Amino acid sequence: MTELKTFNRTEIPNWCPGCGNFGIIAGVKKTLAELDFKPENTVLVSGVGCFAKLPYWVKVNGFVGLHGRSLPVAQGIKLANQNLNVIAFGGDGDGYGEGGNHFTHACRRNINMAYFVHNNGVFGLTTGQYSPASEKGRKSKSSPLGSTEKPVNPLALAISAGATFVARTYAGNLKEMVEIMKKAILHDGFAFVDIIQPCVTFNPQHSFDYYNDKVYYLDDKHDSNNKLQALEKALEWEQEEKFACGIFYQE
Amino acid sequence: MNSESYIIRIGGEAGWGIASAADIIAKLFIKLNYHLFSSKEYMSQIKKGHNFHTIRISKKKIHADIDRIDLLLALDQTTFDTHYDLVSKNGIIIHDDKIKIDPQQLKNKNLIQIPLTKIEEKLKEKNIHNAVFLGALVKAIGIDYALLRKIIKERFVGKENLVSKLLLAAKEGDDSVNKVKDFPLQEENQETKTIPDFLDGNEAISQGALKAGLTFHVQYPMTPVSGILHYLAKEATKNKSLTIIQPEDEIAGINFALGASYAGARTMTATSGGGFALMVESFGLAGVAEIPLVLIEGQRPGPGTGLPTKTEQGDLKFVLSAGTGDFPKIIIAPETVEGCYTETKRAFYLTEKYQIPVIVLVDKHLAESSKTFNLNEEEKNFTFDYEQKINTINQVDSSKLNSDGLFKRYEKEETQRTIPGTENGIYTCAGDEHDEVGVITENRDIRNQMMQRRMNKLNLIKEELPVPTLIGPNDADLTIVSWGSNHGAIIEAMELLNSEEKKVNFLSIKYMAPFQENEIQTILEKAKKLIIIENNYSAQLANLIREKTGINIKNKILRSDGRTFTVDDIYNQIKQNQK
Repeated sequence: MTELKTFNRTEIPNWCPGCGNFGIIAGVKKTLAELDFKPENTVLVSGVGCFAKLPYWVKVNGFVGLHGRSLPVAQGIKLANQNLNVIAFGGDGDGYGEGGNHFTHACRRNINMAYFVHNNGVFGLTTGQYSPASEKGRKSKSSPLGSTEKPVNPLALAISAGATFVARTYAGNLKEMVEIMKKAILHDGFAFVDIIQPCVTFNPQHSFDYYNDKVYYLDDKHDSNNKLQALEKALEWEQEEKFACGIFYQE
Repeated sequence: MNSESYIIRIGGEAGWGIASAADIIAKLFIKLNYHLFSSKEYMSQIKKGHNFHTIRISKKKIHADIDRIDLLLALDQTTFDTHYDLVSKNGIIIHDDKIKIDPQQLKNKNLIQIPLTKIEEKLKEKNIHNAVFLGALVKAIGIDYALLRKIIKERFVGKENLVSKLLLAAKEGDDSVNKVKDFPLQEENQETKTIPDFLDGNEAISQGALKAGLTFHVQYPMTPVSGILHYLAKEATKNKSLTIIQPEDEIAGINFALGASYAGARTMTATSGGGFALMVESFGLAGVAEIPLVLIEGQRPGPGTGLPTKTEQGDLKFVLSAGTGDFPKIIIAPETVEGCYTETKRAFYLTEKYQIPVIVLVDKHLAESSKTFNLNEEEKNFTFDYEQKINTINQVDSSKLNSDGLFKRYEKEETQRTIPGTENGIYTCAGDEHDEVGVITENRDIRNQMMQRRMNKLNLIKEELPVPTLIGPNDADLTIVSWGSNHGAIIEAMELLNSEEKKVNFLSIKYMAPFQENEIQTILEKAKKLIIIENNYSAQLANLIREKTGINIKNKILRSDGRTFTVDDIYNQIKQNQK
């Protein structure tokens, strides 16, 4: 097994203390180590946002491109060299807003790679505006009276766009997150994982405590081969405030 | 004016097979060993409308359109009405007998009526205009029908039903008319030559890219460069090392290309101005992250959707300033179809060696006009070691790699890189300003070093670009300055003017960035009188010249009506200007 420390760099991430990204970067390194990936054969691709700095702080090949554009870059890399392990990262503003078009088409194109979206429901790096994933009514600097827009449902979107692996995981549970990340990476096709993550600075009401209370895990009763059941499960969160985690759908 | 060429124009509605008829006419005359220049004008609609193709035929090399028609194939009333006044004295008009004509307007012209409706009824077929007219064409100018039959069979090989339908129709056309006169350029014995290549700019770009080792092409369809996508997609069916992607939009397109290039593919994308506008932010990413990329920009008239199927040179200033901040970029504007081949190869060589983005700037007239030339002869103009594998022109060797695994790609040398998969060759390809291994930084000194390192590439590139030279007599009274596809018409107009003892020479500027200001300034300062010719409203090249050299070219021949300059336009306007 590749040692965990192989993926460490000397720089220390400059995310806010308590940021969900610390859990995610730890999960990524642990996943790479457990999958025995070599740093030179692994490429992490991101865009712009707090999350997007992740490749700078993992010792593998990195491509930090433009806001919303990690998916087309990552697909280009994978098509140019099928031997590389390619993981793209997005944020909820970056991936569901700016890069929303690429998301739909990456799902239906089904290229063999993983896509992890750090979903904290807010624009962090631009200091706290509501994002495409913010709940209706969210008050922020750019929505002082509350947002009038419904939040995007990324899991339902991915399932209907033809993604062959759709999952949700939670940055507050390293063990479960690593299991999902490994399965996503090993999936033969486009694997999408929405990672719910608190933003302690700009979305403090959705804290670790909040999510610890609302997150639950899919069990054997959920048939992840059943597209309609998967879609129904994905829509659940629109009805009640709880977050199912696990593999919703897999072909 | 130029009596040594013969011009055939065919026009009709979209969907009538005008393009394939024009292609067959071209092949007829290629088989007969002539030089050709062929252009087309069409509208942004799939049916109806008015489309026409012009095929100019000569015994010597030709490069442009002229304002004359020797034989007009008028498949409909619009073609007749639009073009009859360009038909030369004793020229031939072959037309559908349903077309209304005032005989008074047509003195000294040979009219040939085609009973198209009768032929369609007899054969119980529709949409056979093109074949009927081709049959009539060969008869009217005394070309062997057997040659037409051969070419139709070759062009539609494997489609037996279609071939027999077309041949029946062509024979009817042939039988329905009489010979007017023998093809006028035919008298001399043509020496047997090898069949030349007959390509348009899009095909020449594609072939140049393939020669240079293209392995990854990504393109969202857009006129006038969709021909590149079509050509390469077909090529990929038999070329296993070539990947073609049609992405969801141009932003995805350029980012696919950057990912593939970073991973080691030899990569190209192509678009027009509107698509490039979407790509601009990512174009800057290629600049800061130093990713090789060849980008073909085929100009058409803007702004917005503009005139989507017409031609213009209106994007020069746009591509020169595209992207945020300062970063090195190369912009090459080929002038001819054969130049498209050579300069695309040069673009690949430069982008891989210096690891900066290169734009090959063409226009609709260049991308979609065809010409006979010999690729093997053209190949001699520029070669590099094509066998050097993917992006290895400046890939580092392992002795430069540290055992800590991190590669200092952005350290001192302007150009060095590894590709993912290289042991100890890890770096971050970064859109943020970054340190020597690509990690994000806001350090002032590093920022200054990085700007210096990147921008210095332009000095290195300038040293290996071909130097601009004057075409024509050194002691001219007038120096024409121009760029891009105007080249062909200017060359021919200049030859005519010089044959009338008007001393004219020509500076065609091909490398827009880095701009060879010293060489260009020297040439321009020696000129007695300057005139700029550009297919745009504001004389964008003239503005660039003024910015770079301080020289203000006041005489201008400009157009921005979506049409190309013909030899006659330039000849007449220069004469006017010289009065």
